[in-house]
Amino acid sequence: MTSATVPSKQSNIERVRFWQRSAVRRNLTAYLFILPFVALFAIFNIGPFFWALWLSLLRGDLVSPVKPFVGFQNYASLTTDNITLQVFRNSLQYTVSVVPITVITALALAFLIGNRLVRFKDFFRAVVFFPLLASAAATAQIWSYILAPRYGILTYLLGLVGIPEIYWLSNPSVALYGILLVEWWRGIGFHIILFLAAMLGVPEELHEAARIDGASAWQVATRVTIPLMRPVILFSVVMGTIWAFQLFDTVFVLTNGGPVHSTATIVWYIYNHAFRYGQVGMAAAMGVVLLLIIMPISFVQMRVLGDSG
Amino acid sequence: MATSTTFSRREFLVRTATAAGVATVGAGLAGCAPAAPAATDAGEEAPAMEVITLTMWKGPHKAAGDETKLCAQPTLDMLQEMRPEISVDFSEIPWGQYNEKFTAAFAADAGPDVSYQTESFPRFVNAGHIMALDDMIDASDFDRSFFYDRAWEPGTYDGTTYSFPWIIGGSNLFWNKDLFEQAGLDPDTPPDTVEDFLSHAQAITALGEDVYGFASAPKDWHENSQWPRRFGGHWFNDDLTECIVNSPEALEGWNFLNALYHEYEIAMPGAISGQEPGVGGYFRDDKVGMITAQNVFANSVRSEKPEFRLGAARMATGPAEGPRGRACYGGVGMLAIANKTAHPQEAWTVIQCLVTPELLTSWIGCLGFMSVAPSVNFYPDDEVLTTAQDTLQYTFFWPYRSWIFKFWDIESTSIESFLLGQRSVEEAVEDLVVQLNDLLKEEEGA
Repeated sequence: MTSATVPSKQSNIERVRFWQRSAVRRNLTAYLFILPFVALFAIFNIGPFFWALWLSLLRGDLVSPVKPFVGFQNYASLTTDNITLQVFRNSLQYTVSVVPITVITALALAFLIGNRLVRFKDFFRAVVFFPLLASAAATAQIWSYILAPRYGILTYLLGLVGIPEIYWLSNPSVALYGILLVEWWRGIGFHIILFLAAMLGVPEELHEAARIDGASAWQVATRVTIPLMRPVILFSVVMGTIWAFQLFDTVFVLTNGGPVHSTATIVWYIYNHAFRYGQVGMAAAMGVVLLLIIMPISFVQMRVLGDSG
Repeated sequence: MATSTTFSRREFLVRTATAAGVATVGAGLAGCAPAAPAATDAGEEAPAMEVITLTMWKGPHKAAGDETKLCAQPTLDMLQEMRPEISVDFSEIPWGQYNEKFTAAFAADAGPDVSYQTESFPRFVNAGHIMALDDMIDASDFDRSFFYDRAWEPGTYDGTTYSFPWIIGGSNLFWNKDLFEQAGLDPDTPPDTVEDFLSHAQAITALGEDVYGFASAPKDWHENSQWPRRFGGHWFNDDLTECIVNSPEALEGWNFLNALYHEYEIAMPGAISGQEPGVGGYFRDDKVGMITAQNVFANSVRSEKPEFRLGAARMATGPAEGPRGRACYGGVGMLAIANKTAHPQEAWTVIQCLVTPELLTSWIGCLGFMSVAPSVNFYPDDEVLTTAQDTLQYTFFWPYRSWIFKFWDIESTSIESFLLGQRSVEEAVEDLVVQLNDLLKEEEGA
């Protein structure tokens, strides 16, 4: 009895010591604070992720109680469907266009707004951020009138400088860039605000030191400010890429994927399969493939931009 | 706006009773008659009545909120007067969210008790979310002849009636009488044949550089897809197992449509008509002489430009014989009951009430659609809208099937591709037929 009791007491003491020492106990309050987030994240993100994986192996309508298991057939179908291939091409083309354009112009505008000579900085911050706050559907509807061929204000303004009518949303060769224009307008404020905040974090002494060493304004910006903003630029590029691959609402309202599928994106096609075609398995399979595309791209971007400089 | 919205309730009753006849009104109202009050002793208060609230969803046919304010709520107030024990909680579901809302609701077995359904409703029937109505119809002695015979077809699936006709609409030819006059044409006489149609359109196009005889949106599957029919073609074989819209007759129709754009150049280029303000806007602004559009379009033009001199008639006929030669789009909007409703009898009562001449006029007449009941004319004094009621005979419904959205997407993209000059008609139509036959095979095997 005695011999059996001693180790038991010892293990209890060790357990108590471990409990007293452990990070869990020390951080218990903190864990309790993040528990609601973890629970919600598990319910609304992790759970649906695994559910989507499972759905991608089934065939049938979301409203249907019976969905037969078809293995990887949905993934195989993706490779033979011409529209699927086109929507992946469109999304890629859109992403490689919109991300650099948005990040570079946002950086330029951030430098402009952040310039010491510019007054009413808060006003400009509010102005550039406003489009992001407005409903995507509402702004898309407004843009459909701005981009209209006969009556559109953009057509009118371009006409003043001799540029002929552009069929922004109805010419298959141009329509994706019409969408890009709207999305650029909507999204640029987010990047500008990020960059302005990052610029404030660059110590002024470094700028002064560079100027004393004879650096021009361009050199100060490109050799001092921008390199020190690298983590924020990286974040901006990664988020821009993810959002670009997830483009949906502007396309849905402005062109509904047309003309001739020239603006059809991956998420637009996922939506159609899930809610209009009654093919939730295909939708889920496309969602998984989208994830597999975004993950490595984001990883490479983080490695490349994170290591450089 | 529909003039009917200004009618008083008394005027409605007088007009509809005149139009429909006492017997018909009586038949329609039978299932909607107020429940007999519970017998009580003299002086004793009637027991408190339990009010059952039903949910009802419908896509809007007016600007957001207007249908509820002008048409739905006044009608539902009248319904509650008739049946105080039933209250209807009505929601306008924007068309842009219609599929996702219904899909999510039915997937969660939480669909609305009463819903407005269109071409894609067999999706929900297949999944067991819509209640079969035959037993209720038989038990209530509802006279099926109250509606046009063909209005029952879309709601009947595999021989069972799943939904009740409520709205019927169709397209017809609209023309701008001012442009007709300016082009030296009789403003009161529409073109009778497609040859007349072409010559009229050419005369109007000759009026100026920015004026066109005809326009259609390149992606408008309802309007563009009628041309093969007008030339004798069919979209599908009889048992709906094969797409045959590449027959020689159908191709003749496709080529005629294409020629309006690229050979005769009397159609507004698709790149222009496909963007705002759209075909209707250009027509209203005197840039286009003729269009085909759903009959509710008449109300839009009138509200936006009251002085517009609008002509409306059946479409010019192609070589096909009978109604097919003047084929236009038609469709039926229906009322259905959720299988999981806790109050099927009350939901059925609501449906019966909504199709009584009075409430039908109050809601559907207010929207500007045609009456689904031949005995009820919403607009006896309106020449244009009465014409549209007459042209319903030339309308063709799409198959009401679960694959309809995919079909429309394939169809509209193929047509759009040749109207925008991306492909030849033959290439586009062959591709269309291959894709549709694949779709039909896929559905057959599902």
